[in-house]
Amino acid sequence: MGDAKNQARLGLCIVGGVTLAGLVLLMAAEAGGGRNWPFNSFLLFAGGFLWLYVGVIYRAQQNLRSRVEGADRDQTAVEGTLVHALDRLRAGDLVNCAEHARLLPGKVAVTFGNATNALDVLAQQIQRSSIEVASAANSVNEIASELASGSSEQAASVVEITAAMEELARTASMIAENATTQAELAQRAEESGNSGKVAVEDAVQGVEEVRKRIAGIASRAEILGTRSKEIYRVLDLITEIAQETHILSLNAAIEAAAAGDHWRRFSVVAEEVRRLAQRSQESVDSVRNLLDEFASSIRTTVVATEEGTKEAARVLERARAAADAIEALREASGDSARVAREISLATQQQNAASDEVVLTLKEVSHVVQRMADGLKSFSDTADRLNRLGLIIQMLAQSFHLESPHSLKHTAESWAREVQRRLGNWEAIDRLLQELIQRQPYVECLYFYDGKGGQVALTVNRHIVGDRDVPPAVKSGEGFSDRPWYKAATQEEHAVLTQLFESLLTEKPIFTAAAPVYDKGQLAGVLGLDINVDSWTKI
Amino acid sequence: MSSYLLLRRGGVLWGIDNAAVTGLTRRGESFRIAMDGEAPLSADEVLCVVDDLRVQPSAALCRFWPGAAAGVAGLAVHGELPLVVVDPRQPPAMLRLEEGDGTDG
Amino acid sequence: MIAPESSSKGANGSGRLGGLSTGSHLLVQAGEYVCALPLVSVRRVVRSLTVHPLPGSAPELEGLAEFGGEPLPVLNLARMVNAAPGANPAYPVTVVVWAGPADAREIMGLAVDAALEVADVPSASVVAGGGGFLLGEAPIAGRVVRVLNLEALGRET
Repeated sequence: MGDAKNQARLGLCIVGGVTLAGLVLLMAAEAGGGRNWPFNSFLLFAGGFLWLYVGVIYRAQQNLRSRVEGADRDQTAVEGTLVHALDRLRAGDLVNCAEHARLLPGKVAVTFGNATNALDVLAQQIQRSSIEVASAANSVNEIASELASGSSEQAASVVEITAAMEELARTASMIAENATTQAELAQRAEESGNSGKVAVEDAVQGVEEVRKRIAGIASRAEILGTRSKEIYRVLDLITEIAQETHILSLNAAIEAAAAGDHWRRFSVVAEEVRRLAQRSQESVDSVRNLLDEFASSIRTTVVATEEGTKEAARVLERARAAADAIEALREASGDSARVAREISLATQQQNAASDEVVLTLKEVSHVVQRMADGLKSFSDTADRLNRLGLIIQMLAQSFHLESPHSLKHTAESWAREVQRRLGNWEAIDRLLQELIQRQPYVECLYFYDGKGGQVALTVNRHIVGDRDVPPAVKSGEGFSDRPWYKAATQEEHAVLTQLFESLLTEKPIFTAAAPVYDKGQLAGVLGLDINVDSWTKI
Repeated sequence: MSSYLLLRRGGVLWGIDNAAVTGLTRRGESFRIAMDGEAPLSADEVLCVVDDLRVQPSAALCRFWPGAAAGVAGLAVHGELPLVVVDPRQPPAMLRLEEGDGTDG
Repeated sequence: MIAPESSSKGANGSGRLGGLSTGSHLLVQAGEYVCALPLVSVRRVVRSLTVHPLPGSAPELEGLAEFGGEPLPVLNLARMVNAAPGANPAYPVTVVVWAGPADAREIMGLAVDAALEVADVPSASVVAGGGGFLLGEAPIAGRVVRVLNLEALGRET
C-alpha cells in the first residue's frame, strides 16, 4: 500500500513537473515569439519523464507481482488453517478450533482467538444455563405432576363434597318436613297443656280445700288431745290424792293400833277413809279407762288426721308439681312449637342454601376439572419443557468446551488417560472403574479395541443395581457397528449420540464416545453411557 | 361429844372421828387422810367436820353389808343425809388409800 | 311404842303358831307375794324414800335413807321373801318398821310395791312356815298372804 502511494506521488510529481515545464515553456514561447523550441523542449522533457515513470512503474509492478504471489501462498496456508479452525468451530469443538486459530497470522489469530474465546464463554454459559434450564424444567415437571395429582385429588374431593352436600340437602329437606310436623304437634300439645293446666288448677283447689278441712279436724283433735291431757293431769292429781289418802288411812290405822283401846272407832274412821280413797282410786281408774279409750280414739283420729293432712299435703304437692310440670310442659310446648317453626324456617333456608352450595360446588367441580385439565396440559407443557431442556442440554453438549460440564471434553480427557495405558488391559480396566466413580451419571463405561475386539467394561451399580450385564455387551459383540463407534472413528473427535433405551436399565441414555489414537493410528473407542435421569439431576 | 369428819367415798357419805385424823392432803382429784397410828384413808370429797352427830348402831347394816360391817360403828344423819360412821381403827376397805390414788398435790 | 298384842290362843304344835301373837297386820304387795306385817311393828307408811345405795352390799339392802331425822337402812321386801318381780308398781311405798329382837330393835325401812290394807290375821289361819322371818302363810280375802316375823329380821334366817 505504501509503495502504491509512493508511486502515485511520484506519478503526480512527474505529471506536475511536466505540466509546469510545459507552462514555463509556453510562457517562454509566448514571450519569445517562437514556438518550436519550447514545444520541442516540452516534448523532450515529457518523453523523458514518461520513460522514467514507466521504468519506475515497471519495476514497482515487478515487485508487486512477486509480493502478490507470496501473499497468495501465505493466503492459501492461512485459508487451510482457517478452514480447519472453522471446521472445528462448525463441529462445535471450540478447544481444537482455538488450537488451529493460534496458527493463524498476527492479528487474524488474535481476533479469531478472541472470537473463539467469546464463543467459548458463551457456549459454557449456554451449557451451564442449559443445565439450569434442564434442572428447572425437571423441577417444573415434578411440581406440575404434583399439582396435577393434587388437582385430581381435589377434583375427587369436590365430587365427594358435592355428593355429601346433595345428601345434606336431601336431609335438610326431610328435616324441614319433620320440623313442620313437629311444630303442628307442639301446637296441639300446647293447647292440651292449657286445658290440663286449668284442670290441674281446679284439682289443686279441691285438694287445698280438703287439706284445710283436714287441718281443721286435726286442730280440733289436737284441742281434744290437750283437754284429755289436762284431764289426765287432774286424774293423776286425784290418784295422787287417793294414794296419799290411802297411805294416810293406813297410817291412821297404825296410829290407832298404837292408841290402844280407843283405836277401834278411829280405826273404823281410818278404814272408811281408806275405802273412800279406794273408791276414789277405783273411780279414777274407771275414768282413766274411759279417758284412755277416749284418748285412744282421739289419738287415732289425730293420727288419721295427721296422715290425712300429710297425704293431703303430698297430694297437694304432687298436684302442684303436676301443675308446674304441665305449665313447664305447656311453656316447653310453646317454646318447642316456636323453635320448631324456627327450625322449619331455618331448614328451609338451609335447604335453599344447600342447593346453592351444591350448584356452587358443581361449578367449583367444573373449575377444578378445568384446572386439572389445565394442569394436565401444564404438565404436558412441563414435560415438553423438560424434554426441551434436555434437548438444549444436548445441543449445548454439542460444543466441545474446556469445562467439567462438557461431556465431549470429559470423553476426550478420559480417552487420553486410556491412551497412556494402551497395551495393559488390566490397567485400563482399573482406570475405567476409577473413572466411573468420578461422574455419577455415567451408567456404563467401556473401551473397545475395534481390531482385536477386546472390551474393558464397568457399570455403575448405583444406577444399574443388581442387574446382570448381558453377555453380548460384555463381549462387545456388534460394537463396531454401533453408531457411537462409527461416529467417533469418522469425526476423529468426541461425539454424542442421540437418545436410546439402555439394555441394562431400560431407561433413556445417550453415549459420549471418543477415539483413542496410538501414534496416529486408531487404537479403539472409549464409550460413556450417560443416564439421562441422573445427568439431568446434576 | 366427838366431832366427826364427813367425807364422801364411793358415793357413800362417811363419818370418822376427827380426833383420829392427823392430816389431810390433796392427791390429784382425791384426798389423803392421814390417821393417827393407822393406814391413811382416801376420800373423793371432804365435806366438813360436825360436832352433833347421833350415831346409832345397825345390826341390819352389818347383816346385809358384811364387807364393811367390821369397820362400821353405826349410822347417823346430817342435814337429811344418812351417813355411815366408821371405826377409825378398822375402816372399811373401800376407804383405804390404794396405790395409784392420785399424786400428792 | 306399845307392846305387840299377845296371843291368847296357845299353840297346838301341829303346824300352827305357838308363842307369837297374830292379829292386825298391814298387808303389802312385795313382788308377786302379798305379805302381812304385824301392825305393832309398823311405824309408818310413807312414799318411797330416797335411797342412797351402799356399794358391795347384799341385794336385799337397797341402801340408806333418812326418815324423821333418823338413818334408815332400806330393805327390798320382795327380795327378802324371794318373790318374783311383779308389774312395775304405780305407787311404791316404804314401810317404816321396828325390826329385830325386842332387846335390840332398830328402825328400818321395807321397800314394797304397795301398801294394801290393814287386815286381821287370825293366828289359827296361819300355816306355819320354816320359821324365822317367814312366820307362815294364811288365806286372807281369797289370797294367800305370807305372814312375816319382823323380830327375826335381825337374826340369821
